[in-house]
Amino acid sequence: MKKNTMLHDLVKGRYFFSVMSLFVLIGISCLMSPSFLSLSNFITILRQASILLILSMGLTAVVLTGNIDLSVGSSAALCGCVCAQMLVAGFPVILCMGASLLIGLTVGFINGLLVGILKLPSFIATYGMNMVASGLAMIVMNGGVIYGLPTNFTTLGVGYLGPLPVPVILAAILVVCMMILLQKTVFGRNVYMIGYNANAADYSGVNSLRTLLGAYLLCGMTGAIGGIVMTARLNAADFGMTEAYGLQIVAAVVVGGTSLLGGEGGVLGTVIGAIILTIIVNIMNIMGVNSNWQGMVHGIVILFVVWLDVFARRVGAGRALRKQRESVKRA
Amino acid sequence: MRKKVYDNKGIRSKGFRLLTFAPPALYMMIILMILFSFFADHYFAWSNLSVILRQAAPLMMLACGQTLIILMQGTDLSLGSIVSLTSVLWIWLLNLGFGMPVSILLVILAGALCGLLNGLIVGKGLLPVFIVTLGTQNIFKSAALLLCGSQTIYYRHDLFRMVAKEGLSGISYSVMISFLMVGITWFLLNQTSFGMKIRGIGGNPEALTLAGVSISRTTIMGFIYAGIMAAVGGMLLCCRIESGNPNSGNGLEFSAVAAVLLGGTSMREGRGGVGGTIFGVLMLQVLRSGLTQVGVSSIYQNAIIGIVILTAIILDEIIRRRGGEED
Amino acid sequence: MTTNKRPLLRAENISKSFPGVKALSHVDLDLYPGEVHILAGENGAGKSTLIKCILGAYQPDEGKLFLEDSEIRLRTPKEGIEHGIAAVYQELTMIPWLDGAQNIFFGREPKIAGTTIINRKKMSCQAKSLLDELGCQEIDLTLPVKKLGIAEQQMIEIAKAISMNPKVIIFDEPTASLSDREVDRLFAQIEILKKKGLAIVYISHRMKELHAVGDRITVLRDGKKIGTYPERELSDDELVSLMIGGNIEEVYKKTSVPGRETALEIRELSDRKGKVHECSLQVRKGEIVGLAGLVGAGRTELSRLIFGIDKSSCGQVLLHGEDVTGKSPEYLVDHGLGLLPEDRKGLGLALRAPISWNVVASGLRQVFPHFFMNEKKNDSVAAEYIRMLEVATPDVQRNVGQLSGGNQQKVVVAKWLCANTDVILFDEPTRGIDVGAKAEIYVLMNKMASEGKAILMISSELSEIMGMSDKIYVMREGRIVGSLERENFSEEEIGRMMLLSGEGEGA
Repeated sequence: MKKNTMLHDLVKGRYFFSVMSLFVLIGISCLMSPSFLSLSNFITILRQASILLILSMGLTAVVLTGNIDLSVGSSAALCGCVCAQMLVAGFPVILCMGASLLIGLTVGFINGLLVGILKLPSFIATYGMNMVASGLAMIVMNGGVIYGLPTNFTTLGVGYLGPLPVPVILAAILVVCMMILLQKTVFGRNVYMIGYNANAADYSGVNSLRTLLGAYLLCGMTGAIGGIVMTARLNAADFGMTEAYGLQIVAAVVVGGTSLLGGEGGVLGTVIGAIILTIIVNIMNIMGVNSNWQGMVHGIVILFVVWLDVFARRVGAGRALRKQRESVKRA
Repeated sequence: MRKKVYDNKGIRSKGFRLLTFAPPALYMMIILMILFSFFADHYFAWSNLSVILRQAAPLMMLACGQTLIILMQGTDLSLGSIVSLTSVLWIWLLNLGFGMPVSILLVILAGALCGLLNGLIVGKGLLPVFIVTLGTQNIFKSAALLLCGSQTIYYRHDLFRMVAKEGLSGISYSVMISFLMVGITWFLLNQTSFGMKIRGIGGNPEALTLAGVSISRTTIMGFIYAGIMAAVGGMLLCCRIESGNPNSGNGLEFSAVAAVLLGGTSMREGRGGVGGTIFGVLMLQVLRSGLTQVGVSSIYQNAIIGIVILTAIILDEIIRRRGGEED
Repeated sequence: MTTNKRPLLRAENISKSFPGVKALSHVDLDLYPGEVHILAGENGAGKSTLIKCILGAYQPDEGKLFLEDSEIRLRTPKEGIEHGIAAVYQELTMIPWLDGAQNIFFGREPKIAGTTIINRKKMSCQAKSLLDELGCQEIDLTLPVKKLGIAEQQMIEIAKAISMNPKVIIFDEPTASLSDREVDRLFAQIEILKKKGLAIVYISHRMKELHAVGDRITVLRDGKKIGTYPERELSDDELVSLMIGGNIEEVYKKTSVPGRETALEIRELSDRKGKVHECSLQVRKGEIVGLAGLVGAGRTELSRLIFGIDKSSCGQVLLHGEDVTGKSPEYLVDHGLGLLPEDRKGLGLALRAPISWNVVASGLRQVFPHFFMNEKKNDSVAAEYIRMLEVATPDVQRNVGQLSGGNQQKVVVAKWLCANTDVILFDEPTRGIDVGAKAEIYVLMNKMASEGKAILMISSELSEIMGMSDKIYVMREGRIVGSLERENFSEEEIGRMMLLSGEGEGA
């Protein structure tokens, strides 16, 4: 049963467009650059995608509730910076990572409160939080950059477990956990219900505040993990290190077929979305395209996908209405 | 003995209502100014105040445009990158050898085109404003970076110095331009049918449909206006720093949103106007300049300003809800 | 004498369907100049749909409109206005932060020639003379309308309609929020408009008003026209029986007998917005209690208060004797309270979600108490309730939005059954539902009552509330003003309690 619905989603359902564009993209990439299909490039793509994927994992839950979190990028940077500073100061690795996680969770918690209790529009509250977090990251780094972290920490980013890079394994574990959480638990169901219709959820006795807080906490947590892994991978920390990821994180979720209206989509889509975006960047790098084009490409991709979502919905609604009219006429 | 019924205003606290009378930005500005005057000498001297006014000029332009968008219940997150794009574009055009008047015209046209793009996607595509402008934000930013190759580009011209530094009787031209634009925006919002339609979109879109007014056309016009204002803001900024910097507009869009909200314009019901926005902008500039004057390192400033803005928006929301302005 | 003239506006054979409902079928209407034509009928009889078709807000599926003998086709309300058909809507079309004059002339402002600049002087001058004409000079046209009272906004709304120089004006329940004095003034204004030779359509629920302004009355029921009668020839009782039609007892077969135990009790409950004042009532197990009242009397607000969506300012809610005042909906649902909201599509269901998800939305914690859940069990649980309530659908994976209104409402009922609810608040349970589906909902409610569940039903349809209830409380202006046991039910008595102060007898 479970496999069936997953397969159905991939082949015919929500993720159809995402899967199709992934294949088309891979096809084009192969034509454009023969080195694209090499094993080493494959591993590179996976590793690059894994950080993006970790960062956008929690955001998927938030977008499913019909809200957004624009602070993921800078809160990840903040967490990475705190972790690096503490490592340099000589704290044990576990403690450093714990502190970063705590900061990520705090950011998520505040976001959740602002959106859930104060009912501020989520994009305003989290955009403000984005500013605050990047400002704090700047303070933590004192405007500078840190190089050279302990090797037992950097393994998290550059190490391998068998043939697979550690970040990829981490991302895979997170994906599985998130899938179980969102598809197989009462909490996950409530996340979807709030996204479908927050008012109806309230009128059904769903505790929407707790669910929303949960989603934002997840988002803060995965943001922190992403920040830590990224710091380990770079073997350095810089307050602007996630700048390039800012829009990509949102784009990965949206390109993966999760609707900004909430309720539709899921983690599986985000996996595809993250891989698509990474391939786009990868192929641009291989082709030697100026990296300044990336923002433009991501912007266009996100606009196109959101438009497609709304357009498909409108076409669907129109078709349903016409069907209805015909059946009424016949009756 | 009939009792008064339909008291739909219900129970609300008087104190909170009083607080909502003037824009929150005004109170905050006064408090901040008094606070800073303890730490900085001659804080209330005209020379100091005129500097604040001058530095506020570019943000003032953005906030004027943002006022229109927020009155329509949206927020334009691309305005900051339009500032970056237009300022880089201006210097680039001048370096190419275009004359001053032609280049100014072209830059304004570019701003209008950016606005048109936003407006078309929002108005015709019916997509959420924030995601559209988040997307175009990256497109414009990327265009700015491409134009100048990620470098700050320079051009020498007396006009820059003149606009930014000189003026009549102590008021610099940039301040005059900014207040002229505020005046135009005020006129547009309060004295023309276009302004009525903008307020109508935020207040009761149903009424527009019933009156046969096109919502999408009004939306597009609003975004074009915001784009033009951002272009003017970009040029004012260019005059001040005498160069074109692809990152010069970063974050300005959120300052503009904050300025408008703190200026008493509401995201609901099309309430408010450009009058309060002036105080919002000045409040933010008082804070920014004040932090520098007091000697707070620039490293700390972004976080402090971010926290102040976020706190102010939260307080504003709480006060308004307690005051019962909106149910 | 009006009959000698030609009709100003004639609607012929108008039909209109919505998903799952036939709102109007083959309705005719003719309006003569200088006449006030009343549209009467219960909620959902098709009055609003009919006037929206006349205004151009809806396009009828069938039928034609004639204005002074020439056929017109209206695609938008604006085209209606251009043909001289204006309306004063039930929900105001005011833009809250524009002032009175700006609102009156919205989209049609007098401009300085050749520009889009508004000629303010001319505009406020014209607005002032319009209000003078209506006899309400005291309204401050420079204030944002949000700061004005509802009655004043209503007057501005009327001025707006008149400023369009219409031939036909439609008043859709204009007095719902007006006091006696204001109503009198409105009638004086209608008299002025009548003398000018306008044709006026007037919709109201207040009997007294119908006789005060009406010349002819057209009665609608279930989307069909029952007939048009001169006002003089129709007594109140006749009108009511025309509106309700048929024998009440046939539709509402009461089977349940109320028990003794009190399931839900509220004591002097008030809200914080001033819409509910010190309401007290009791519902026993197995009892169906009706809550009658006009639109805006505070019934929906009361239900939200009981269900914990809004917070109360004072008073108590007792559920099975336990004080649950101020508890969250989550807690109340877990303790057996349910609410079937009036706005089924906006509040009752997640239309884009599958049926199976909606069915278990409230009972989720009970069906899956250990945090983890599985889709298979969810589907089988949902399918069980779908079978039990005979919802017409091939499977439970379908989106609820694809069902008809009646079947959607059954899904909402299933949601509460699945949550093992034993006290349910029904807010307008049969709104926007076909006649056949209505009867099924009634059967369901009766069945639930006979199983010992307590039901509080809010309804604006007198026939429904009288047919279904064991006891009726009447609400007016935020207060419970009286109650009747089943043996004492009478339309006159309930109607009197619903309207009393509006009729100015509250001495």
